[in-house]
Amino acid sequence: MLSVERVTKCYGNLTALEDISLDLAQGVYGLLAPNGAGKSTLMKMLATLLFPTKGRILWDGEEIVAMGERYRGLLGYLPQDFGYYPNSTPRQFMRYAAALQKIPRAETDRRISRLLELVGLPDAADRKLKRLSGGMLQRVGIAVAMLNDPRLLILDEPTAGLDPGERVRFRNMIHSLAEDRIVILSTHIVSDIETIAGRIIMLRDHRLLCCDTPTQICGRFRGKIFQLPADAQIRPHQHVLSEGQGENGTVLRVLSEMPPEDGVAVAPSLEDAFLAIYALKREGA
Amino acid sequence: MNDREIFPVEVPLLTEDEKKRAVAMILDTAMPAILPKSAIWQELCRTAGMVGLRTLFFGVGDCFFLAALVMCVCLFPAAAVMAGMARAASCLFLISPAFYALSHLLTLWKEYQTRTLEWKWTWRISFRTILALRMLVLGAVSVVGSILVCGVLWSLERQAVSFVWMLSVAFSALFLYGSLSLLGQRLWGMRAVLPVPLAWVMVSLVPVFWEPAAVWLMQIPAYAFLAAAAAGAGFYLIQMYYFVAAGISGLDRRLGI
Repeated sequence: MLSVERVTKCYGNLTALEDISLDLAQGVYGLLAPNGAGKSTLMKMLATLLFPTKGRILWDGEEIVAMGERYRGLLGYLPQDFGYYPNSTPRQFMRYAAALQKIPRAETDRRISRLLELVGLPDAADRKLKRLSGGMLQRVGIAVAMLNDPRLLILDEPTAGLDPGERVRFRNMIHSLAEDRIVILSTHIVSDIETIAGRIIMLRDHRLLCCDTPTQICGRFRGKIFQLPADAQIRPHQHVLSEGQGENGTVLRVLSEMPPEDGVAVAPSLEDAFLAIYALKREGA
Repeated sequence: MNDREIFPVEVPLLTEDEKKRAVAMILDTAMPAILPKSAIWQELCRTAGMVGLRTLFFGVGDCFFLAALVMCVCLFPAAAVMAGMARAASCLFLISPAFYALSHLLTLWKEYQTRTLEWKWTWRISFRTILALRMLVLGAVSVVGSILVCGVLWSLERQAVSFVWMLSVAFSALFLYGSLSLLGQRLWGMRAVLPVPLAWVMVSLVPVFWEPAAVWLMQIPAYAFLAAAAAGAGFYLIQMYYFVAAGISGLDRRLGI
């Protein structure tokens, strides 16, 4: 189990994260927040790239900083914007990463083949990395992160830059990886996690807002999300969350305590909840 | 009646495992483990054997080619000119650490440019350990290179100066530079990577362009340079121990990334 105990991170006078406490067991956790909310800061602290200003992070009761190599041995991390050596191939790069992960040489090639098969790149093993598309590189990244069969997999904005098809493929892959480990993925794209995350961790104002199931989060807005025609008059107590295409043209999804005229109640989606939470924050609610 | 009798509270006791973990955490915080020197060097040797030279320098091989090219194209001709002006000591002070400094700078620059550092910090073998092994290999190559450079310059000087003296100057410069560079990285992380070599170049250029300094340098006996070389080598190894120990003990402070 990974425990985050009252962690605060400050950069000089700027507080990036304040008093975050979490207990994470096996499963998929989606870290959802707008840009600049502190997602990457939290991910980096979990990956020991940054250290908390206050508080501590524990793995099975032991501080991860003090664990050192033992913690890194059970950690798989995919940075948000990871680098690579363009003239090397996925196989060469993974052999390099495997050596630095202390994977026995006899085991390395078998593991590389299995992982490239898992991420759907068996035919690209010997192509130069600079020749691969963004989605293929991301899949190589996931394969590298999985090399040491980690108990904790941290993926920082793993779907950034991927096309819709690749994002669906990625979601399916995460499902299969999460069976017996903790997977934490951060994103500001709600659709990437609403179907795969068992729990959503939301940050607001640099603090933890909630760590609940998608159903519980959406349930807070049940009976408060309505669909209106685009030309409907919006009252002061109503908040427009998003615009979309309905059967008869453009429609607005609106947050309102009272049912609006011409409004049709709809089941709140995770995106509605996300937009509602941050809309309320902007308006000081 | 006291509060306990009115509000009896069951205090849950810690299990044996929880007690042990709590004690271990308190001790780790109060008295961080200091690893014996032999353990550090054994760990370095074990890691070197595990990864091999190819992994150690994966992706940065072109940096050595570039460093060697700069040495050949710029420095050796300059050294040949200076040697003809009987400023052998000045040349050696500048050239001896040059391959080590250039290679180290270029490999770090390349690691930074390829944005692989963030990933490497999360892998089992500490990036500090990799850096340490690279520096040791570069040091060994530079020692061999210094012997060759001394041989060339000694020939150009028409053997007017003792070869042992030239070698002692070269080694003292190499080891002093290496230990100062390592100390800078330990204390200031990545911020020290550029200032230390720049400072070294500026100091080394003083005897090149200022005659009295060059004369003074030529008068220092070989045993003085040898003592400086031995002290530099010892200090380098001590700094290397602390540099690696921080990575292995888990109290690694990232190099200012």
